[in-house]
Amino acid sequence: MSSSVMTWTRRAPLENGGRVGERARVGRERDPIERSAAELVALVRGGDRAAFATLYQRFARVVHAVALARVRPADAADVVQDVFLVAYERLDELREAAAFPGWLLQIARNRATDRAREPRPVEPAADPIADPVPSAEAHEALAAIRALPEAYRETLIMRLVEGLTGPEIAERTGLSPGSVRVNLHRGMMILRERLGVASTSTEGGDG
Amino acid sequence: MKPEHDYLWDGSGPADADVAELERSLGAFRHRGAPPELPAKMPRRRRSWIPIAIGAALAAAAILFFLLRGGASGPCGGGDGYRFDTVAGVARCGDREVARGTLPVGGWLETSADGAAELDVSTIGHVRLGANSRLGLVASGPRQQRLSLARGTMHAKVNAPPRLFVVDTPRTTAVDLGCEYDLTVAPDGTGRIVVTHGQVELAGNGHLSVVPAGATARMHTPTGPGTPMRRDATAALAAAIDRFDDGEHAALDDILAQAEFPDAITLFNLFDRVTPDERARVYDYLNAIAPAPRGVTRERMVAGDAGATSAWRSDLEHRIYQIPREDWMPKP
Repeated sequence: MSSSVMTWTRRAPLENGGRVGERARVGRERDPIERSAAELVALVRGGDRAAFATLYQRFARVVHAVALARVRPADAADVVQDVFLVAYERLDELREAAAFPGWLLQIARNRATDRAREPRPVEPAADPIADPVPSAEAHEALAAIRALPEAYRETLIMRLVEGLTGPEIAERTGLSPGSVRVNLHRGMMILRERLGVASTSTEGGDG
Repeated sequence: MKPEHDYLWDGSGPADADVAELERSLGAFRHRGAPPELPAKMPRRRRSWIPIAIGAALAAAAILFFLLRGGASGPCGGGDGYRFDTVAGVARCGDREVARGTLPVGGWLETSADGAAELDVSTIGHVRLGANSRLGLVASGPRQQRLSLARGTMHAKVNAPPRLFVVDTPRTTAVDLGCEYDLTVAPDGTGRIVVTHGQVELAGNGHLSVVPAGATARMHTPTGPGTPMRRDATAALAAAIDRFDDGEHAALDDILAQAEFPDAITLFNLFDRVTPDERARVYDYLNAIAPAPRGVTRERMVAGDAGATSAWRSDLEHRIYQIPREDWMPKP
C-alpha cells in the first residue's frame, strides 16, 4: 500500500545534484537563517548555492501568495518554481541587494500575470496525498479575497493562507509595518462584508 | 490607540473566530513546494557590453568555422544533450549510424525496424525508444525537458516535478505529472498512451485529457486527445468511448449507462467535451457512482466552475487511488 502512495505523491528528483536544498556549508560565522536578504544575495553572487536555499525558505511563501492572488491554486506552485529560477538567473541585474524582496515580488507579479493569461481549459490537479484538498468553502473564501484590491488580497493571502504574521509580511515584502497593518485590517473588513461574516474581534483597525 | 492584543496582526491574544476559521480552511492552499533545481552555472555579475560583444563575435566565428568544415565531428558526438545507447538494431543520429552518443537540442534520433535506443533524460529519468521510431530533443533545461516523438514507440520513466517533462507528438502534447508511461504514435498523430504510474495530461485541439495510472487513451481523435478509460474497461464501454471520440455524440448515452465506479475518471473527463446541458447529465451519473465532494454542486459543474472542477478532480483521484483493483492500482 505504501508503495502505491508514492504514485500519487510528487516525488523528488532521482538525484540531488542541483537542488538548492542542500545542507549549508559548515564553519560559517552565523547561521544563514539569521542573515539579512542583502547578505544572502551577496553570498549567492559569490557562488553560495546554500544561501539561495535560505532565500527560498524565507521568501517562497510570499511569492506563493502573490501567485495565488492571480492564478489558479494548482498553478501557483509552478509559478513559485519559475520565479526563483528567474531570480537566480537574473540576480546580477539586481543593483541594490537590499531591494531583493520588492524585486523578487515584482518578478512574481509579472510571472503570475503571464501565467494567468495562458489558456488552460481544465484546472490541473492538486496532489491529493501530498497536499490537503481545499474545501469548497476554502475555494469560495479564496475567490472573495482575490476579488479585493491588489494590496489587500496579497497581504491577506500571506496572513490567512501562508500563515505569516504582520511583522513577517513587512520584513519579507519590504512594506512598512504600518502599511501591512492597514492592509490587513481594511482588507479583512471588506472581506467580512463580502462573505457576510460579522466581526468577532476587537482589533485596532487602520492604525 | 491600538489594543494590546491584535490577533490579525501578529497572532497575539485570543483568536478571532472568523479569522481562525479562515486560517484553518485556507491553510489547505499553503505553499508546500520544494526548491527548484538550479542550473549548473552560477549567476554572473553585470558586465559591460564590450566583452559580451567580443564573446559573441568569437562565438559567431566558431559557428561559422564549424559550418564551413561541414560539421565534421557530427552533431551527436558529445556536449550538451541526452546521452543515449543503441541497444538493438541500428540507430541514426543526424546522418550517421551511432552506437552511443549525445542527442543535442535540435537533433533527431531514428531507429531501424529492429532497433531500440535508451536515453537519459537529463538527471530526471530515462526513455527507451522502440523500433522504427524518430525522436527529437526540443529543449533541455532546468524549467523544461521537451522531446518530440514524430513516430514510433517510447517508454518514459520520469521522476521530476509535474510539468517538467513534455513530449510533443504530431497532434497532441503529453505533459508529465510525475509518472511512467508507454506512448505509441503514427506520423498522422494517431496512437495511444498507457500510463503505469502517476498521471499524464494530454493537450490538443483545445481539449485536455487527464490520464491516471492504470488508464489509457488515444493520442488523437477527431475531437482532440482521446477520453481516458481504465485499461480493463469493458469492451462495450471501450467501444462507446471510441465512438464518442470519433464524433458520434449519441454514444454518450452508452458511456453513461456502462460506467461504474472505476470508470469515474472517464466521466470526469467528459465535462470538457460535452454541452452545458449534457454536463448536467454527466454530473448526475458521476455523482451517482462517485459522489461529489461538499460544495461541488450541479450548478457549479454545469457552469464550468474551475474551483469545483479542481475540487472534484482531486477528490476523484483520491478515490481512484483507493480502488482495490489490481489492474488499476499502481505497481510498486
